[in-house]
Amino acid sequence: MNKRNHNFALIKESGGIVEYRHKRNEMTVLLLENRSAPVVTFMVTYRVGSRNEAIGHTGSTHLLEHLMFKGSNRFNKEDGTAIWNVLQDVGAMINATTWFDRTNYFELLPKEHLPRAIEIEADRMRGAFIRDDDRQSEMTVVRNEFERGENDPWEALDKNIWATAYQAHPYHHSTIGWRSDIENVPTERLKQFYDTFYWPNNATISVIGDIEAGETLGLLEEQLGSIEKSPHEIPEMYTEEPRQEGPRRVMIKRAGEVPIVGIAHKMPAGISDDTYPLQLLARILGHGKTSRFYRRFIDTGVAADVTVWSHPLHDNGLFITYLFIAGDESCEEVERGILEEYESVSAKGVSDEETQRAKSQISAETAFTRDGTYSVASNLNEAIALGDWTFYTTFLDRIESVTRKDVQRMAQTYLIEDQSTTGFFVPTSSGRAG
Amino acid sequence: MVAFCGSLLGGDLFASGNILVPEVTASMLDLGTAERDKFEIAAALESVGAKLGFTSGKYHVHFSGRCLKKDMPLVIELLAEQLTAPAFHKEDLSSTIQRRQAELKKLKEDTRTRAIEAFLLRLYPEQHPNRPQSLNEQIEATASVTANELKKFHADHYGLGTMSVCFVGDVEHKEIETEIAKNFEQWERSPAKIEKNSLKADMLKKAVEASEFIPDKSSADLVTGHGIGIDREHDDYYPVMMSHFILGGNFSARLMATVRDQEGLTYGIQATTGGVEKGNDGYWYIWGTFGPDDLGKAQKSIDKQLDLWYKKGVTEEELASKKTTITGMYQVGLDTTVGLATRILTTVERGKELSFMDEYPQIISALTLDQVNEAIRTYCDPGKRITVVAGTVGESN
Repeated sequence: MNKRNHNFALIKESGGIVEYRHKRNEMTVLLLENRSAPVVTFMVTYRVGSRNEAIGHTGSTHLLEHLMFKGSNRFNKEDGTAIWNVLQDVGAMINATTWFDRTNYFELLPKEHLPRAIEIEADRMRGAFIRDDDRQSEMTVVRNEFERGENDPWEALDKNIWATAYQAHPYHHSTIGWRSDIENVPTERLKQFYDTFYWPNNATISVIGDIEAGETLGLLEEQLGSIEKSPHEIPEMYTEEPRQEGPRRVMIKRAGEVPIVGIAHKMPAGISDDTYPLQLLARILGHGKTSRFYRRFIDTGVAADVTVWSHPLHDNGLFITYLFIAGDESCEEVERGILEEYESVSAKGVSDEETQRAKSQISAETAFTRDGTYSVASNLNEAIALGDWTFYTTFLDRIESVTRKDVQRMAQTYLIEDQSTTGFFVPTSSGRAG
Repeated sequence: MVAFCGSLLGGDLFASGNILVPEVTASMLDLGTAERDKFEIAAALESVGAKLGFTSGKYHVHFSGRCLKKDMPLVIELLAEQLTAPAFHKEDLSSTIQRRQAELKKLKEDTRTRAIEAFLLRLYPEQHPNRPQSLNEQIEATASVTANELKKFHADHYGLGTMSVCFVGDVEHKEIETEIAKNFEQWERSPAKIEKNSLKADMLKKAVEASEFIPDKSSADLVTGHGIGIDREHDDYYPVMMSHFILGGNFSARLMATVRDQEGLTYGIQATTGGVEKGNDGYWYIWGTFGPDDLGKAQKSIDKQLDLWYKKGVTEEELASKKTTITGMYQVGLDTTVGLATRILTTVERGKELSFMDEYPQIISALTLDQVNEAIRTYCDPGKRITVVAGTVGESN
């Protein structure tokens, strides 16, 4: 480490990734040296997402993310230094994403251009313009993104299932927000959001790729070290979802071709010990040709596709099975079939063979997540969102310790009727328009 | 770990009767072989966390996957078994047909798919390799595919001689060579070859506008463009490609910078070329997504940008920046083993030496402003476009 880096304290190391904390502004830094290609992924993850929004400003995190590309003190159109131009001109893959628990900005680029990426992210961390005329023109862009999502029957059903499953907790609304909030949120509200959450002490910087740690910390110190920590505590989101006391249902009728069934159950928070057996349960049920759902629904032609979604989130998320009906079965018949499979796991458990196969799949896929600097950064991003980046590096060891009894216990504990939300997408033949 | 991909001739254009036979053939490769049933094969792969899948393209059947180094012999053995001796069981065929029909019906709801399909159907004559089969034709054809047709198609087209395979990652060349030779040595050579296409796109004398009505869609997709009359090997191809990249190749290109960033009329808009492989005369088009209220304004905005681009050309500064964009993207594409494997296979499929991968950035860097602006004037005419809008627009049939 060179002498400029005395401002960074080494916190810990896990899976080859080293964590540092800036002593003054409390920014977290994660570094992984990987020289398989002459490229680097630079990423800033802010620990803010749509779970930090409320009625009237749903979708603000995402709209703000769009405005973050509209210019900052040193990188803007007026000076001929717009972010997209500066970075895409060197072949960088750049973008940003927003989800329930985090917002991330990233650049995958030839290694020699890393200093420029750091400079840009440092500038817009506290120097973004967030102007009203930019909001007005970008609002219609985001509204079209919303409209595109609404085009997709599955996305429409998914939004409705989450909105039905959660009454108090902000997972109730999707990250893109409700249309009227997108259209009407004032610029001042977005600025307030920015000034609340966009600070170094609410950010984790990840630098993965063909780097040298000491030199990289030096670059980070140069551009980000002088930014002050927030003058206020970053506010905690304290709303908890009340216990669900019975099954819920939702149905969407719209022009379409293929009926969809979705059955969701509440899961524990992502960093819970139960997350690991739930991942195995999801695989045993719905991943690959040997899975129970493949044999029951795909192999028989009942379904065109079946997916079990069990992504761990910061708070208690959803374990959801989605099935696209290919045959003549009704949504109700398919629902009964899915629930029978859940009941079978709950009553009879799963086999050693199923458990081992699911572990092998996860083991190989975890190894594959190391293929490419962006892939590592992307996986780290989701772990940061849960509240512990080592979730990524310790995941496999935790998976290995799961037993088949643990998997059965998950079905018994979580896949219960009173905690369920069931949604049907029912295509109508003619639609409302035309 | 190891990533691999490969291909052999036997794609959709090799159909001689039912148009869906090549695609269904490829989709049933992983549903059992003469030796093992589909679940035995799946269990063997999944128990080691390996992946192996097959898809059918226009000319090639593609396969790809990944595995840990220690499992490579097993995966090559299963790859060979599935490619050389698929079972095509009747009971699997009926469920495959049912699934495929549902997938095709889902595509009928997709505004982008429908806009591009309608554009290409209007551009290319029957039998042209770039003319797609309509979704309705595909749904109808799927229903009547028989197991005997699949077996015959497989026997007639699949084989050595046209197959390429690429492994990237923790691999030793000798070991792979030995495993490939051991597992494929008995397979016969395929007589499949690509017939030269002599058909050409219909060049328009005036603009054509059409709409594809899809009920209950809150956003519409627009596709507008026309044929370019040349293929990838033509001297003018790269200037043409660059001219469209400057118009709409990425976020900092003209269309995103104006129609989206300045005017807020779209979430996404791009310009691209396509259909230029294997000697085929390709096309260019602009694609964009628009809310129904913004569609009219967006079309005017696109027309304005096209007019500027066509009449005034692109600038030296734009060309210089997009050259570094494209060559930089080429470097960034090496970030993953899958990205590298895919690039190598694509190079081979195009009939190029692997050295072409090093030459490509030089070809891009050598383009001149005159070449690019001359390409715009020669190969594009904004007044003779086919324009299709798909969504809840126009009239229901």
